[in-house]
Amino acid sequence: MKFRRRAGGPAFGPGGRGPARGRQADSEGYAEPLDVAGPGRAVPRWVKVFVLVAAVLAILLLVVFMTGFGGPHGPGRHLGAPSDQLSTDVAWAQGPALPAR
Amino acid sequence: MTDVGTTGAAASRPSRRVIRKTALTAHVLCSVGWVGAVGAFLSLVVVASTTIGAKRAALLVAAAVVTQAVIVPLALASTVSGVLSSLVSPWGLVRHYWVLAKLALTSVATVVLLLQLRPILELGAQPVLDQAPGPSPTATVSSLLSLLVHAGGGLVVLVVITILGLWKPRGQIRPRRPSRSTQTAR
Repeated sequence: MKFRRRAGGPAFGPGGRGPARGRQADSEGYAEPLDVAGPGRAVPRWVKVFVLVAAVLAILLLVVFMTGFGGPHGPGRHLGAPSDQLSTDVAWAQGPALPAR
Repeated sequence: MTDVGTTGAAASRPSRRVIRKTALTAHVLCSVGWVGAVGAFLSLVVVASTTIGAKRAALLVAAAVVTQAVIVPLALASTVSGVLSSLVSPWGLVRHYWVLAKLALTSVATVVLLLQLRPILELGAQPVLDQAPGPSPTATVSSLLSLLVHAGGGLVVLVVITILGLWKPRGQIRPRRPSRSTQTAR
């Protein structure tokens, strides 16, 4: 079974598909990617994936905030006033208040 | 005059290198320590969630101490040393995507940690209150679950930050300005 090699190579390392290839060492031998600035310079794929994942996670968190999932221990507690957490714990553990007879 | 300038530049070069290496060493120490401390915290909370009574109380006190005395100082030191290290290195702070991604993730992780500090310290103090009729164990279990989620997520973020720092994926936001010597040569 043959595996076809990807045309661009790996996203990381010296052979990665980026705007430039190879690394440039400065006078102290500090290796730095040899990226060339220009109008046609594209944003690397890993950055796009990174931003996409971050956006999805942010939307998920926003949904959790809006729906109040998790009760008083959910992420919504970060938005509330700085009340006593222990009293909130007790209220949550005791459940809904019973109506007065 | 040229000789004096060259000598001055050559004399300042080792000190710049020392500053760069020192900042990088401090940053690596703080960051790796942060990962290890979060791992220790996570293990304490995992064991605490499976036990009850005095053992759970002791584990929660230990988790609170680890957070207050180790994790928070290391997180702040890692953030500050990372910014300093990038500023004195050729990578820059906003020159490469991977540095900016690391800074963003570190900032988010530090903010979430500081938001979680109060609940963690309160859980550590809770066993004292448990002597009297106090919070129900159900509340403690849900609080522990919250800590597990936050600590687990934080550990994942820290691993991603470490991978970014080691692999240094390509991508330049803005090019490095040519050095003064290069401009003179032109």
